[in-house]
Amino acid sequence: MLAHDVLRRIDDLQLAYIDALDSKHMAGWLAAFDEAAAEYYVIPREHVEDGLPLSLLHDDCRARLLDRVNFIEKVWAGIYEDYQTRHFVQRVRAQAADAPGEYEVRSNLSVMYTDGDGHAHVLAVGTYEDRVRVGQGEARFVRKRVVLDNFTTPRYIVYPL
Amino acid sequence: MDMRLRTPPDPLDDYAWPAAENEVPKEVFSREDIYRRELTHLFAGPVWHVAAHRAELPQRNDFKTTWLAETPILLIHGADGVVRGFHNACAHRGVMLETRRRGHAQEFECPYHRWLFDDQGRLRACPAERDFPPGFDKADHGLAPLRCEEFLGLIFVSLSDAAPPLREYLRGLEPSLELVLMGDGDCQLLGYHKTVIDANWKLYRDNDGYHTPLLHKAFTWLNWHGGKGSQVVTEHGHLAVTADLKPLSDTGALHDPSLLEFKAAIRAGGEGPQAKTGVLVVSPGTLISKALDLPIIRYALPKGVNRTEIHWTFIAHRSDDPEMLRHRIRQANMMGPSAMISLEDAAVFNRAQKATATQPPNTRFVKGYRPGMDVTQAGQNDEVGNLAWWDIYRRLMGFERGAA
Repeated sequence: MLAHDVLRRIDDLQLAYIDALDSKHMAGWLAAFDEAAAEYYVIPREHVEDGLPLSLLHDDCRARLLDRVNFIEKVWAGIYEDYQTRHFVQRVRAQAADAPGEYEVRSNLSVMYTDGDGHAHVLAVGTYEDRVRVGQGEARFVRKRVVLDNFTTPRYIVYPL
Repeated sequence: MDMRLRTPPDPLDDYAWPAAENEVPKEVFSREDIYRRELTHLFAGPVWHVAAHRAELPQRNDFKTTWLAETPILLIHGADGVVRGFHNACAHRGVMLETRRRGHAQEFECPYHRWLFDDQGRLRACPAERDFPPGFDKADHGLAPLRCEEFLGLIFVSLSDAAPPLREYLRGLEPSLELVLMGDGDCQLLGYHKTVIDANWKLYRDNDGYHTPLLHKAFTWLNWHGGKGSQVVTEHGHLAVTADLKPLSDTGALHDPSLLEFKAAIRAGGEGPQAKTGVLVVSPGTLISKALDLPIIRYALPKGVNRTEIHWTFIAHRSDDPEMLRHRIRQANMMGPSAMISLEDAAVFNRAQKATATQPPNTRFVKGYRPGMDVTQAGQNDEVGNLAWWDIYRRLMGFERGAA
């Protein structure tokens, strides 16, 4: 069983991450990832089951994360139909990984969204399959994989999940 | 008194299409009765529909299920190498036969009464056959077939005997299909991006080269300008905008410019289909494009009059080495329903759908239009090319133009 302090720091990271997304605070989203090594993927569950290599969002380096933020804040500004999200996360499993200070963490995820007319819907249901580095300072994601159970999304996804 | 049921007159028989040849009534995107007529006159009419690419069912005995509007269909890659299409329903009581999206199967069994069909749709077994009426012959009870023909690995189906042979239907589009399918169409499947738009399927298929640099700000951001190219408009209403595109120079817009490399063009020395880009509308409802090294088939599947499922299907060439495969997978961030370019298309279609009951009653195609023109002569960035298909649509639906 992991030390209480480690679990608390992992949970704090996860909560800061979803708070940043629900606040559309993209700098906060970026800050949840490790400065040196950071990967972020959204993968349709259909692909996991069928062994297909494509992701819906595929950021395999920090430069891609920075470009994603630029697109949301600069390139797409004023074009997309905006929406408000609420992320709900529940950690279901956590264990030490093969590298010191790193942990594999699995959580259930649901994301509700409210559209511009005030109607709420389910945007995403799935899991976070995270690799978290808990160093001397605060915990950071080294890799975040979102596996989407609802591989047919109800609308286009602007913000990361 | 004659007690036979009579078909009431269909008010759509007298529907007056706009006289102006560059106008389309907005209500064709939202009227339920027009959508119902499309099911019989268009989806079951004398046209072909792209239902799959061989990349999605590459091995013998692979299958794929999909929809032709409201008709579920089953495509089977037979043990003999031929891909066949069927209505996806047991020939007995009509239960949907296969419910998985894709897979591998030697035979297909209906769970209800265990009727069993083979890879060519033939009925092989049905329990308690001795209690069936005399003369029951399994040969008469196979799965209902669809017309099914192939071009460059694309599997086309038709519900109509009146559709012309596929090669005639595609005439004029062949070189553009070769371009977007990387020459020979020998493709492998990378995966799907599946999403829903709250808009009629015809709003999705009306692609044009006019909006491209205006809606998609990313093209300006990336200093990506359409190269020298052309638009082909065929007699069956297909569109193809194709262009040469020099590899993009790094303008510093991206932290990771490797995403924009045109690797295949560089490898091919700037020659051949791998070195070009193109966007095709294969009428009635499929888009096929290749931007840089990213070939995509987009199936627009109607789910009622005001809702459409879009299955973005990403493919690679079968001969790709691991570096090229990785590159194409990364490049899928560039174009798709949640990607750098095209995310904003859905926003526009949804907004058009919300405003169908507005004045003026017709939507207009203006860019490149001259009264009395031959719309097949549309330029690369014109929107009038779509009018060729709209006229085919009008005639298939039995709509006469109103008086000018």
